[in-house]
Amino acid sequence: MNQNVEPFVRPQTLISKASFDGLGSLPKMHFIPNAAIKPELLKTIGVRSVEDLFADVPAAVRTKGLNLPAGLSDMEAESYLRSLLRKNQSTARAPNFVGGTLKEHYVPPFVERLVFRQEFYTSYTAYQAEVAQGTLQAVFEYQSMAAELLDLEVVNASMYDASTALGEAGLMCYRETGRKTLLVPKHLAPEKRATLHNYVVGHGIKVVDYGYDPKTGASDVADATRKINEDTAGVLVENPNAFGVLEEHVPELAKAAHDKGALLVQGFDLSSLGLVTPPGQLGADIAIGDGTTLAFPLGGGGPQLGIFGTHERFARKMPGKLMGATRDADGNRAYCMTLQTREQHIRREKATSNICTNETLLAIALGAHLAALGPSGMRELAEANAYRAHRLHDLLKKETQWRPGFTGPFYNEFTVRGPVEGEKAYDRVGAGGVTPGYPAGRIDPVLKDSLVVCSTEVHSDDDHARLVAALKEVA
Amino acid sequence: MVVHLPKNRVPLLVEESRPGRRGEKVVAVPKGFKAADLVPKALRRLTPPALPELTQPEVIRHYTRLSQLNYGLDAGMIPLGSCTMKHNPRLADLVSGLEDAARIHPLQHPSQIQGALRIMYESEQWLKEVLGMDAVSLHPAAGAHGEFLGLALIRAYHESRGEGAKRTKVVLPDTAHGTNPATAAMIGYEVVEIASNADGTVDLAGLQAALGPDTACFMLTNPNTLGIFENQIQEIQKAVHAVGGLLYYDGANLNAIMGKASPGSMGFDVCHTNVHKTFAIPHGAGGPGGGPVGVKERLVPFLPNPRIVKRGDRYEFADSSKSIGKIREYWGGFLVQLRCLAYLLLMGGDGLVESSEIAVLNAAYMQKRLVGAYELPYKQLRKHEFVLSAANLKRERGINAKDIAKRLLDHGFYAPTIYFPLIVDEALMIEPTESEPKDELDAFVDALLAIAKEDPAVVKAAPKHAPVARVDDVWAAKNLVLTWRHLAKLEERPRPAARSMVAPAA
Repeated sequence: MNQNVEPFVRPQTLISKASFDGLGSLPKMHFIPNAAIKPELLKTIGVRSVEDLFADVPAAVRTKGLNLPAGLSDMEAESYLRSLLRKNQSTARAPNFVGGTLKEHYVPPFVERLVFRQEFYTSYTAYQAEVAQGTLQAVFEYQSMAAELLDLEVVNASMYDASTALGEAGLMCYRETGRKTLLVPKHLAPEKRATLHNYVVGHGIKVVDYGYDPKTGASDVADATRKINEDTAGVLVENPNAFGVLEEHVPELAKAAHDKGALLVQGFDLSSLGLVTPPGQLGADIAIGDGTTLAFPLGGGGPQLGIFGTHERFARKMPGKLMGATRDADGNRAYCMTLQTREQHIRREKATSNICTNETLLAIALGAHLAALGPSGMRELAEANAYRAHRLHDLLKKETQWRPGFTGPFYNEFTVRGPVEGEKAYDRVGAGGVTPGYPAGRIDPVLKDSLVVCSTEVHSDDDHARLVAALKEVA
Repeated sequence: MVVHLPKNRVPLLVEESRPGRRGEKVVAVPKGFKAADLVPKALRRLTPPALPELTQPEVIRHYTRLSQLNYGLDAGMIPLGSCTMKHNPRLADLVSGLEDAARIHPLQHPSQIQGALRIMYESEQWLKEVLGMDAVSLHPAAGAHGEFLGLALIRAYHESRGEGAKRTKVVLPDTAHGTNPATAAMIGYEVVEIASNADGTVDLAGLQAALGPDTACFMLTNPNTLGIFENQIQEIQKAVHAVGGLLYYDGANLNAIMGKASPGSMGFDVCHTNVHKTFAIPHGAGGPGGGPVGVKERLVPFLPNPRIVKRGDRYEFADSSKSIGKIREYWGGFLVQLRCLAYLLLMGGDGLVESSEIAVLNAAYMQKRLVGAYELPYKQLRKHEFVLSAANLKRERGINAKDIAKRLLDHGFYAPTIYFPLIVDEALMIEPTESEPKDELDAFVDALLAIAKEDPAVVKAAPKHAPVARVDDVWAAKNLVLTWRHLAKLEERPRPAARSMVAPAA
């Protein structure tokens, strides 16, 4: 007989007969195993009740339980949440043409299936490298692929979103140069501007604007160049910018910044990088962007994935976790978190950032998607985006009273000027079930008659037709 | 019940890549459409990004094999102190994956996302009660981001009273999480750290000495990172408020006290909580998380824009003119908060209280069984976590906390948090949570007791049964191989001569 087989226990001896008969009282919660055996644990500890373990909580600060509803069964909770979610109109039914940081893309289902494997999704930050090689290698590969796309040497393991990546970039420019002015486009989305402000204001860093060409919608490089001086820590340019316009003159701006010893921070659209020159080739020192919608669904704006890339020479000053390759004690390739001496748990108030929990699962998801797309898929994705946006652009021009707002080249987002105010169009058309775009007046009040409209590969000809019809109605 | 992972080696994607393969069909554009013609010459990418070329089944196999090298909570206990690795209800997965949850844009017209706004609003109501606060903001993306918001609110509050310039210091105990001083510095405050007393709690005299008219706030975790309840919390509260400072609660340890006390009942003005700890959001190998911030009335006007308000049966965005503005681009991590609400609905008030009770009970049980073989410095009564010291084993057997952690992996367990808090030598910080059955607790304790008696040479050589042997993180930090472009550096590294190679699995 096999000695390793454990003795068989008769199931009846393990069953709680009293509870089955409705006489005993089982604990209410189905997620808390030891609730059923409190006395056994209390006996070992040597106290009489669980309350004894809270004896040091002074009476004056004690609360009497929680004034909250009783717990529901899974079925009831699911039914309730479904009833609330039915009050949403998903973009599948209610087409949305707001883009900005979150432009909707298609993520093939295999990506979610992979990252929802319990080994990824229920695991912790890779503090024990030897049993977290899956996470470490997957993030190392994400860093590698993102670096290839950006043509920069280092990408961190993730930031919360593009706007906080911008805030961190602002602080890094300050650390690197010791200077206290950031030069940013006047045409920066107000949400990003507000976030940047809170990241840098405590250090006495000023945020100064440079303008744009009202005809092309592109950054006014001459204005920016004039404003760069010995106190400039960094210059931000987004390509494409908040109006959707592609910025042809990033290299000139980079040179102007570098001539005065400032860093160039460049925003990018990840989906464009199979078609558009990457930040590393345009002179960027830091590249910031958002990878959310090539990894996860829109999700109402969270969780998001902030991407942060830079040159190797800045690696020791950059924020965020980094995974590195090394070897194990047997000499085999292995991975671990590295440069942790920049991080809060070691360096405390001298850390390069306070970030701890980040967006690792999204980074792994994006890595898996990029691996499937490959170089040709990235090109096709960018082509599909450019096609959809240009198709819609031409359609609006032909079929509605909305006219191109700028002459500059664009990728998957563009600005149009219309017969009604952008906010009005947003409210009226939006309430009717088609969110038509982002009111450009929020970026610059002089553009209150304009909308920034985005179209990506997710939009069908029918979605375009619905937008055209809806805009005609408010004209 | 112990978990052993395979010793498989997974090549990098670039090593598996073969030219001409693809893993995704992207929707085609009409023949004749040339996107490149629409992009100015100076902006046309000329060199393809060096991404791998693989079919979808190959990508799936790659990531599946990688996943098998990971230790996840569904397979076994992750007793990391201060991390609260509790069971993640699967209902949350289901609802967050529904199309009406997943495919909504944060700037879609509010009439189109009423369900989402209501879910955020209701989530706030639940958290207000648990935290004992007057209002909650769901903007922060993580605990440290919550601290960032909290301190920004404190700054705005002092500025509104004309005291912004003079209140320049954040005081905190030496047991504080690293994020506390890091956040204070990031916001632009000076950090003053005070030493703990012999109990392992805040030294009142030291606190009094550090406080003054320049104090912006005092940051405290309660129970603290030793797992000890700061029983002088009322005196602390009075001292901080007496100098016009505010009190910040780091909610990382909230799982110890739900229903017994709250940040509000203890007199805190601002607090954050971690939904990826106390409220059962999966930790996702490092994130995403969420760090809702609760505040008392006098800080409400400064909360980030927009807030979600209820008017009749409609939910709307509302901006406050005194608001600090924004700390992230949109209005919060909706899918994260939806998961949080699913958990809250399942638990209910009673379930949350029971969670805290059993989390504390489980920790006390493990502590009782381990003390003796390991040292327990400071006060004995702990809450949901406790910090042992392996200093005795280092002295007597020459093994340290890291060796013990690595040997636990051989025994089929994840390791506790080690070397934190900094005031405990050779610290092992253990938090079981309420999700672990007694058998799992016992097996983990048995492993720790066994390791204390094992041949020190075996412990120091651990792990032997993990996917890789002990990883050389010193070399990694010195040489920085951060992408596959840098792999050549790794190949140049001399291999250890004396050790035998483990043959890679076929």
